[in-house]
Amino acid sequence: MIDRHLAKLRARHPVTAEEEQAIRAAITELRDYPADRTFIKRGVTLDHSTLLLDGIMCRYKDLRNGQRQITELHVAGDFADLHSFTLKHLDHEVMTLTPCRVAIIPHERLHRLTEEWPRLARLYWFATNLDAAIHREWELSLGRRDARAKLAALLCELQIRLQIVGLADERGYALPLTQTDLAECLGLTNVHVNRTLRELREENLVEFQLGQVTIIDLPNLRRAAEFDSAYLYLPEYKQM
Amino acid sequence: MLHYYLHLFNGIGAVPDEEGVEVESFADAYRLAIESIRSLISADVKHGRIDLRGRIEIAGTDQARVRVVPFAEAVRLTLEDER
Repeated sequence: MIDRHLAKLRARHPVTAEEEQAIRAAITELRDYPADRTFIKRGVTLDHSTLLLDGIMCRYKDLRNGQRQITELHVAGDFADLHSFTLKHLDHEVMTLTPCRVAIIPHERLHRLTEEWPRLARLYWFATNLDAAIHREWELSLGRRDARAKLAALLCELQIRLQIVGLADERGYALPLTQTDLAECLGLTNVHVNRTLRELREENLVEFQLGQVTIIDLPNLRRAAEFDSAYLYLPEYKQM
Repeated sequence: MLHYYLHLFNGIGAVPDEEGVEVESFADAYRLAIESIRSLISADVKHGRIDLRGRIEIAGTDQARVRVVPFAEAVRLTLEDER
C-alpha cells in the first residue's frame, strides 16, 4: 500500500522494518478522490496529512480572474501536505489531476510518530525541505527558462521522480495530464505548450501524446532544459 | 462546458490542437486565443523578433471553424511617430 512512499524515502535514506511498521500503523483511513477535486482548500484547518498512494495531484494558487498557477506536482509516494502538520492550515489549494487513492495520517499520529521515532521525524523534515527545493527549481523555470527549456525541465524532473517509485524508465512514462495542466505548471497557455511540444518532438527529444511521455533522447532533453538533478537530492543521480 | 480546439498557424507551420479546451463560453475560448497569441509573441520578443503573420483558428467539436483570430488582433502596435 505504501510501497511507493517507502521507495521514495529509501531512495535517499535507509528505513528499518520497525520504522516502516510505525509508518504503516499511523495510517487510519484510505480515500479515493475523482480527478479535478480540490480536497484541501486554503485557510481551512487541517487535522491530518494526506499521503498520495496512486495518481497525480498538485498544489496551486489562483487569481480572482481564474488564472491558476500549479506550484508543484505530486506523484505516488509523496505526501501532498506534510507541511500542514506544522502549519495547520495552508496558503494554497491541493487538487487531484487524475483519480487518486490516498492514505490519511492524523496529525496526532504524526506527532506521536515523530516523538517515538526521531529519525523518521528527520526524514519527514527532509521531505518538506525537498518540496522546497522543487519549488525553487520551478521558480527558476517560471522566472528564467524559456518555454522549451521549462517544459523539458518538467518532463526530466517527472522522469526521475516517477522512476524512483517504479513508474518510469529512461524511455518514458505515463502522464495522464492535459496540455492545460502542463500550461498551468509552466505559466504558459495550452496553445503555447502545444507548439513547444511540437518543437521538442521535431528535435527528436521527447513526445507527449495520449497521456504518454516517450523520451527519444534523454541526454539532449536534459541539455535542452539545463537540467541538473542535484535539487532532487538523490545520491545516485548526482552525476546525471 | 463547451469544447473548442485552438489550431495554430504561424511561421513554423500548422500546429493542430488535438486535445482542445473545456470552457464555459465561446468568449472564454476567444480570450484564451488572445492570451495564447500574446504568450507566443512575448516569447518571440525575447529573441528580438515580432512576427504577426500567424493566426489561431478556433474550431468546435465538429472541427468546423468558428472564428479566425489573426495575431495582429491580439496586440496594439505603436510605431515611431504614431500616437
